[in-house]
Amino acid sequence: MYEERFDPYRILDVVNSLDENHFKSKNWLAEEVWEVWQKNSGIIHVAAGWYGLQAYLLQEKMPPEIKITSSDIDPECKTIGKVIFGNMENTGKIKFEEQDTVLDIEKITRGVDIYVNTSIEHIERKYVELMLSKIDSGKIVALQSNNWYNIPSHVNCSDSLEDFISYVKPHFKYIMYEGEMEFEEYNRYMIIGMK
Amino acid sequence: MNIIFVKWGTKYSSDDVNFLYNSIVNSVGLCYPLNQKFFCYTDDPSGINKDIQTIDILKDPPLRGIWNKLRMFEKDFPLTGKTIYMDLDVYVRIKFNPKELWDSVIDWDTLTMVDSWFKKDFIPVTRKHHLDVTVNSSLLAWDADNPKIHNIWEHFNSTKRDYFLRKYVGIDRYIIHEGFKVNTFPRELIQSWYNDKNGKAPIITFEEVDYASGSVKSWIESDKLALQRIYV
Repeated sequence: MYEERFDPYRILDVVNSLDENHFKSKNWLAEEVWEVWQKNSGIIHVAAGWYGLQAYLLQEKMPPEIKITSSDIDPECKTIGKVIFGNMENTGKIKFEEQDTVLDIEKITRGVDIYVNTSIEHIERKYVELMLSKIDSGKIVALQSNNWYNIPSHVNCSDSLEDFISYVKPHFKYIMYEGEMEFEEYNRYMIIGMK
Repeated sequence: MNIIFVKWGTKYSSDDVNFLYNSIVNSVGLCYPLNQKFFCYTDDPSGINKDIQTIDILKDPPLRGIWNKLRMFEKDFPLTGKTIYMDLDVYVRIKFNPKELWDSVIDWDTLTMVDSWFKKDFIPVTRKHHLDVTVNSSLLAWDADNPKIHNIWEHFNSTKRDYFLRKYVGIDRYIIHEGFKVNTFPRELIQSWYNDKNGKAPIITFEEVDYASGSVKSWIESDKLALQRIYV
């Protein structure tokens, strides 16, 4: 085993979190969220945000007054995310937290304008629905999932965009954006809706 | 003593479960009294022999494939006492007395795994969590009431569960690299068909080969016939 305090696999995990496909799909979300928001201020919470790439790309697209938090259930994500994105001169406003997006959803979304979660395939469907049911009305929710079943941690893939919409849509007042992006091994789906 | 199998998905069928069960209860050799209870932890109990008690796979959290094996270590898993797990591509050749044999080779205070001795000599220097694990979980033995065993599941089912699923290809690497102490079965008890070249131990594992292939099945059938000639 590795030394208790040294886990070199984290390096590979961080590298994987920054691969081209993640950049594409998260840039896509940042662009579409900006399209529906179009305001110079606001608060965004990126839940299950891994090491913070999504928060960083949102920050790149958004005006500097918009406050962005990235949270993850894994405490190491906060530590590493701060190192990568938290202390850069132009990303100083990204805040990192350790949060369980299901259990802590009310706390996470309190005072937030936009809730983002691009890890829906990692969260059981019943918990996604529970989570959505607890988000107050009037907030924008941007979600991504995929059909990449062949990954052990993907416990809630969707067969298609329609499948994804079918269980998410009832929790929205209306859908602001829906779309699909093709990758070599899977398709990625996105829904932005108003609670 | 409990003997448990895990069947998830479609890689193995109820026929494979029943085949292994039959290989245990009908194995040749000295007829010691057997008092095992058989269980199968599965997402599809259809077709499984009625003498095997099925336990439905728990869905919270949902786990895929081999990761379901870890769930057997949960404190609330419905087993108590000494427990043996066997992969479905294991073949039991010779009947053995559970108490006399198992108790003499197993420290029930620790998880016992299979010694992958064949990995020890040729491991290149590479990612530790990929290649330096020289045990495997084809066969496991533990005491289901042991809190140290429960900790294997509790540590996994934590805020790092997703990370562990990304980091480790399977439970063997998770168990070793997260620092859990394990013992290994003696090689006289369990051998690898592929690596021991048609091993003759009481229990044979079939890792690194296609268990469903004709060559494996025909070897098992011929071995059974040979054993019957010796013992009957």
